[in-house]
Amino acid sequence: MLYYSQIAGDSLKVEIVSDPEGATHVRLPDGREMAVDFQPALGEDLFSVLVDSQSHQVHIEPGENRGEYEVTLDGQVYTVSVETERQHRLNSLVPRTNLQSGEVQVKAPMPGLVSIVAVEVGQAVEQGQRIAILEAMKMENELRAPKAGTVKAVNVQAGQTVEQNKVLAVIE
Amino acid sequence: MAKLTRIKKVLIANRGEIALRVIRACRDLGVKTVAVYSEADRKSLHVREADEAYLLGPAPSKDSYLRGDKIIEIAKKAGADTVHPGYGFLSERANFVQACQDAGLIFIGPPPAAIEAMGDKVRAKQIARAAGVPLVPGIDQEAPNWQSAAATAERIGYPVLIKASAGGGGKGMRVVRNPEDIQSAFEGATREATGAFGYGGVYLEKMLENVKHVEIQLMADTHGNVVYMGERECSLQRRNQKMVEEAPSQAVDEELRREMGRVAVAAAREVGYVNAGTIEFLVTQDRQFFFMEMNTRLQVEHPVTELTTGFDIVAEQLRIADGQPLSFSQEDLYARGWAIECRITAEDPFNNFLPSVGTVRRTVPPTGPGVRLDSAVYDGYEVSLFYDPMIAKLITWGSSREEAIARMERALSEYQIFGIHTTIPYHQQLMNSEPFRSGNFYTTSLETNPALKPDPAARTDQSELAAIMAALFVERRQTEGAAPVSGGNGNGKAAPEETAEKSAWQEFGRREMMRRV
Repeated sequence: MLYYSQIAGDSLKVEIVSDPEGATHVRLPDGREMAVDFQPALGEDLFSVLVDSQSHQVHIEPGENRGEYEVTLDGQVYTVSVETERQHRLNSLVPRTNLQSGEVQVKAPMPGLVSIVAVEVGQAVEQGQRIAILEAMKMENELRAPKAGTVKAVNVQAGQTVEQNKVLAVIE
Repeated sequence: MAKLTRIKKVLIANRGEIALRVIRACRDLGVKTVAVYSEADRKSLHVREADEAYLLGPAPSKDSYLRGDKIIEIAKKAGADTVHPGYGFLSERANFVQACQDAGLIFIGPPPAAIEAMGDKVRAKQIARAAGVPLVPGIDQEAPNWQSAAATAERIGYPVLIKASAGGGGKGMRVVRNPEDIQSAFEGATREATGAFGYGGVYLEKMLENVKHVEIQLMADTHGNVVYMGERECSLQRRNQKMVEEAPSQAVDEELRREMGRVAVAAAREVGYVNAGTIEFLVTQDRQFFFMEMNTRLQVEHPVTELTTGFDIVAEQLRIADGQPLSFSQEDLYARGWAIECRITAEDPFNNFLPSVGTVRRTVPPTGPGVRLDSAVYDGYEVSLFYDPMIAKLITWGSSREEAIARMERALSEYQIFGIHTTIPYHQQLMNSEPFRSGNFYTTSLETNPALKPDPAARTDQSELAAIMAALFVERRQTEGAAPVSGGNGNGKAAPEETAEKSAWQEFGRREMMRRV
């Protein structure tokens, strides 16, 4: 079957085929083909995967949004959205507003006290620039811009206590 | 080895990996254990592994693990005769120790007077001086005003450090490199100290650059025996929090070790010290050493000393508190091989060490030759904001430093914690770094040396593989009919019900197998 995996803006068409002996192969658009053996190792979230006999241990769980998966490989977490061929065709008919607008939200990773808001609406920011400082766990935590752009909204003020996942600012 | 005679049941006034560590020592000695826990810790391993467990109160420490009165009440109710404080929380509070003793409980640690004396930085320095321990040039009285601070700075030479008498954790501390900055630094430090500790007293000392943090583990019994168990190297620190420790230290040779040990023992005697304690020193590149402070408790990093000396420090603490003489003498104590500890915290090293809250979905703990894991983590463990982000300590031993590092690299790559960010990848980078391998690092290196800063680019990008894995995952769910095609099942994280049911027995079997291994 055909799947469309999206990861950090890049799309990859993944074709999964089973041969008559029951072995599974993956075909990529550039013509590469590899033999895969995808086995659950613990529950339905930890897998042992042999890709052309290369051994990998991977943890996969559904992510926050529909069609999204959190894939952990060697301690790194990748968020991948996967569409089946049918979903892909359906979705390609619908103009995608949210994905294209390029908005990025800066969220509070934990509950805490906003001690500093370092940007204002309309300001241009570099990637990695300080957006705000959140005090939690007795530490000051610097929240930075995940990408360069313009500050579209600032939803908090210094001195405000926020819940986890509160959107502090939006960058466009 | 003599059995304990007075201690029959120990209450552990702590949580996390250290509570578990103490429970294990008690088990080894045939002593019953009592755990206490906050509402957030009901399912913790220390609760599950203890013989008895009692609720202390709500999650915040001040309502639970810092409630000395309640802990003593529980100890009496449970029939415990002894309290082990672990580290942090109540471990260095003299009034809690006194309250335990007044309630007829044995406290595993030093007498309250020793805690009080060493907890006051100025008094601690006076004691060290009396015992002949070298002090960093400076003053061991508070500077009454900035003019007096300026005069002292002139005498000992810039750069100088202004430190809060009641301080800790870098609060109320200032580095002054030039005379024109001393007034504002003095005033700033005083202000910050007043705010943080309710007491604004500050003192001055010479700032030493390119120094190592080396500490001496001490053990003292109630019969007048005091020994040192060698040194630990703890220079790799971030925001005054140790990240990596090792024993022995490359900065110390046999002669220096004997000399540091000798003065540390003298300081312990001077203050009437009993039980396990640690004296921290700064060691310069020309092998001079200076007293920093004494920690009057069990240290987080005690396992590296255990692995190199072969003695169980926590069990020895229990024997000392039981009134027995030390079970080893100075001649028995020498370092065999090398041990390294990595502190694993729930923080994202590639995002400015942002605390990572959430649920640990799965863990795959490392095992094999030379590996020890002191951890409180289990599948389903909730990392909360109420407590310290350290969730595990990974310790390896090797016959040489190279072997200990190689084993640490192996153990770190085996160690998988899914669901939260941890410092494991950063430790992998540190172990592989030139400064760490060569020993060319100092107390400030983690903050200043670019080779020791978290480098996301040093990691292999496996996006393509992840994209393939996710497709395989969806394919599996489709063909097994295990879950909705598109994933994203509402609450986002829970395993699909059908699958969970189908594999429950299978999984149980696998877990049983793993436990037996």
